[in-house]
Amino acid sequence: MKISSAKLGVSLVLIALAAVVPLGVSGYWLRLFTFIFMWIGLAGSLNLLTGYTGYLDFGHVAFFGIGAYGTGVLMVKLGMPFFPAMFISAILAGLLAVIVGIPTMRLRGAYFAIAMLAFAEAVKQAVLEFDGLTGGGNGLSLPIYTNYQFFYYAMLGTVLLIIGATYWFENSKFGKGLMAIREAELAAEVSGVNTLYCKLIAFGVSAFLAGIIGGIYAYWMTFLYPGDAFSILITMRMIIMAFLGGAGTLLGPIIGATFLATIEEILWAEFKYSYLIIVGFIVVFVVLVLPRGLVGLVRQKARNR
Amino acid sequence: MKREKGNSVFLVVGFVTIFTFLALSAPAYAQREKFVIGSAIAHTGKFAREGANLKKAYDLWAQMVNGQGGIEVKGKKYPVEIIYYDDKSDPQTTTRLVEKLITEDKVDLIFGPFSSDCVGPSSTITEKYKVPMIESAGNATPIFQRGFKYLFCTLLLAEDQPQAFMRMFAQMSPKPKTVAVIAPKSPFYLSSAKGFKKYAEKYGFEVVHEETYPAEMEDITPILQKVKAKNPEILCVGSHTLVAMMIMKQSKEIDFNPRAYCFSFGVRTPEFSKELGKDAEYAMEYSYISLKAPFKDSLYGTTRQFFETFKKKYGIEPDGTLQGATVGGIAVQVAIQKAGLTPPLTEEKRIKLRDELSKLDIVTSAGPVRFDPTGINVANPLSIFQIQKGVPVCVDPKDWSEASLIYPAPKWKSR
Amino acid sequence: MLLQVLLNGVLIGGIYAACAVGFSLIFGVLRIINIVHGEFLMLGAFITYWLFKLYGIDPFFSIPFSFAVLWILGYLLQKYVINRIIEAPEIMSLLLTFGLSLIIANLALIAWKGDYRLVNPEYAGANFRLASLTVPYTRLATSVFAFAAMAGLYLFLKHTDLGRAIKATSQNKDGARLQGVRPATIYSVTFALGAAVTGIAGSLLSMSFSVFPSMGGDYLLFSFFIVVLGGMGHIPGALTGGLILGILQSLSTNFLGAGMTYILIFVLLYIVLIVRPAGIFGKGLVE
Repeated sequence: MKISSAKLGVSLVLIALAAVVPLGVSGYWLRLFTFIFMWIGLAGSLNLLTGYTGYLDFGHVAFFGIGAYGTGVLMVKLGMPFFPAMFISAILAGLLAVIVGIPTMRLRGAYFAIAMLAFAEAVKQAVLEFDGLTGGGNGLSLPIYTNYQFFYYAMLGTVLLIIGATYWFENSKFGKGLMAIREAELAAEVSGVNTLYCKLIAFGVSAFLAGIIGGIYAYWMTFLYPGDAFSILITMRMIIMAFLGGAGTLLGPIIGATFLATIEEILWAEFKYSYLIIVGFIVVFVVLVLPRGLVGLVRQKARNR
Repeated sequence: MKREKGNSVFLVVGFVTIFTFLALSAPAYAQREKFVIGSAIAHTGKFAREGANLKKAYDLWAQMVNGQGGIEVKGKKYPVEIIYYDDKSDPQTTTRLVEKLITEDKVDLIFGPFSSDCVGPSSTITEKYKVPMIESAGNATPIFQRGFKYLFCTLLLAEDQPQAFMRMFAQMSPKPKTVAVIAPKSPFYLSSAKGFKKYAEKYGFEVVHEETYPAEMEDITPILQKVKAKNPEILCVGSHTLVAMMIMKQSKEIDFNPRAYCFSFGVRTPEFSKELGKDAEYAMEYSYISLKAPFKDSLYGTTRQFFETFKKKYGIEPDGTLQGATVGGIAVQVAIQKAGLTPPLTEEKRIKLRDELSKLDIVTSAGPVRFDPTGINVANPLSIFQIQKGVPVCVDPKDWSEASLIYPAPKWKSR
Repeated sequence: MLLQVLLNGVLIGGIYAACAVGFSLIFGVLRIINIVHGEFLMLGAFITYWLFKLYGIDPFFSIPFSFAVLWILGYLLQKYVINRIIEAPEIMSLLLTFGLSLIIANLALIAWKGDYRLVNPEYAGANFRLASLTVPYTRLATSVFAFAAMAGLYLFLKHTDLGRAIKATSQNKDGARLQGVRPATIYSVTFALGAAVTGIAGSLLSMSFSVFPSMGGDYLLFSFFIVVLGGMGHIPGALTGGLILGILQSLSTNFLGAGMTYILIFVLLYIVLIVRPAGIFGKGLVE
């Protein structure tokens, strides 16, 4: 699926717009957009694994949290500056994914999901327990940096990176191998795809990117609590956004994350008690009516014309 | 292929249009004849109930002030208005909303959210924009070790509050000897636990057991079992309403009978007695002033009148957090008057307000206030409340007490 | 001391097991991971709470109500909603049940607020001494009830026609169909049964622990642990898994501390999944 010049043009215009937004808007909007980019990034990172290999990771927040806490601990305990701390933590997250992936990816479907959930919970409890290092239940306080435009660009940059990675997944031979795994793993194995190798790379990349977002998040919030950084709700939101938009597609996570984040922003002002119920209905609706997500819906319409 | 391209473009254009529309609908900056205060507070989520109560305290203050015509500055009266947003008990949301209140709604100052979790990150925002935040619900130690100048808490540090208990026990004769401290792992509870231990040791008690546990744990009996084996006379718990309820209930189940149950928070909430019924008796909590405290101010009148006004309007008695919120409101009012500031508060004026607050040394019907350099109200007096016949009553200090302390608490089997 | 710790573990283990058995049954027959499971527990707990609070009905007598209400709810949910994706890939049922759980938990939150409730009848916390052990009446009774419920379920599956039809469907759907069993009906009944048993477990839970709308989540995690250990779809395994969890938690908290206990539980879950996904007895269903 080569990209047409029209699509490329539109994309460049959007990127240019996104680049100049911080100059024109105030703190609240800047924060909101940064927030949306963060979720596009998280949904996108999950999509790289789940969308393309079909392995549902119920513990993906672990990598986000490792990126966040790694960055925090390195900056606070070793006085490391932000960028090296973030990269090291993200690489750690990626490596951990590969190590954990080797035994875990032998499991299928639900079992893989539960195993990853167990992993994420274990990491969370470990961070809580070893509080000499991580601050545990007291939280971890990072050095204060309030240049919010920086965080906007950092998240935007990461999102572009993830889009790039997704594009590569879509169009490379490697990516085709992944999709073959998703459709029928045994057949893929038999036809010569080194499934373990491919899966681990997808997992590692996906975790690395989630770790980067975690690191930026930590510095942005300046305060980390294990309950927040490793919350299962983060994983659930990532999954919903990816599937709402359409898993296994390039635009899917972008649309899903933007849609859900925007809907939430509008909804909870009006329906502050019931917006989660509406989100629940959206999820049910998507599963029953739009299993291919919003992107699938658009494509279907196009095909039907 | 053309259709597909058309559809993608349509989607993209759609999004851009929506965003532009949203961006352009930001409110304009108006001239103001009133003070606007912002508050991101929990309407939903785990702190919904506490947030709702906190809002009551803020609203009552605003109502009293406006009842007098407003805050009087240079001969003119300016009413106050509070803008609330629901932070869903989520720190990320609190942060976003506080920034919205400052940059979009252009508030003059911020009344704090509920809980240390939410105060911590959101105070970074107020510090950056130089907007004073007054709060009475976030007093975990790490928050005040960052050298912030714009954060003011009308309570003592969480870890200094337990002093109230130890002071009281130290004066008893015979003096109890042993103490056990437990707490779930979350900033406020841990700070309380740290305080219990610190002051227990300071006043000469022996801490025979200390343990913290993950906040999700429902079944605390294994821990209580361990504590029971060490046979402490006094049980201290860094707590919230749920924790306190479970400790009472599960202590009864395993027949654990310390002579005193000391909690940091939750005993005075209506739920505690309502849900536990008879099993709530004798539980204690530290707090600030009681009905009989001898303070007064020009807004509410005497302490007794403050309590009565509150009770008449809302049907509940103000607890420590709510008293603190009232103190905060009055502190802000007085500081504004002393500095002669008129709304809207520009950055320059907010700096003056902040300076005035840091010098403040006054008495209000809800208690005295004087902030130390880190922003903590060190003038706060401490008291102890105990549940007797289903009602929390003040038992210490003696001058303010409504009843005598019942110690030791009768064993479960003989109740 | 050790004996007391073990006793506590067994008592709580029985209750945990009852919480998980419905989940195991549903997975065994319908092959779906039912995230709404937590909400079934929560609803059972609330039914007991409200009957106690409003009408003074003793918690134990509220159990038939939880059973009935959750049966109906489970049946309707399966027949009209979940059945539509029964043939779809697993991730769909995960997402669907997650969406449903959001809806139910938040409806409960609106209706009943986030307050923590206790079911605290006069006799709550009463206990008796047996040698050096303190045995709480309520925990003992709920444990016994839990065992009874599980035994009842097991016997039902083994000795009644309907029960056997359910087992047949889980093992070989097409074969069962040939025997005249209609899978769609079986699915609805099984889901209803699973929900109802879980409702009972929720009622039992409410007698010892606090009741609030979002309580489902933690028990769901424990249920995962129990059914993986005991073997997915294997009812007796759920009992064993529950007891192991209870005893492990009790022992570990006593000797290692509560935080390490949680780490231990999740690490153990992870290891069992990797090394022996079919559970201790090897009778669990694996893909």
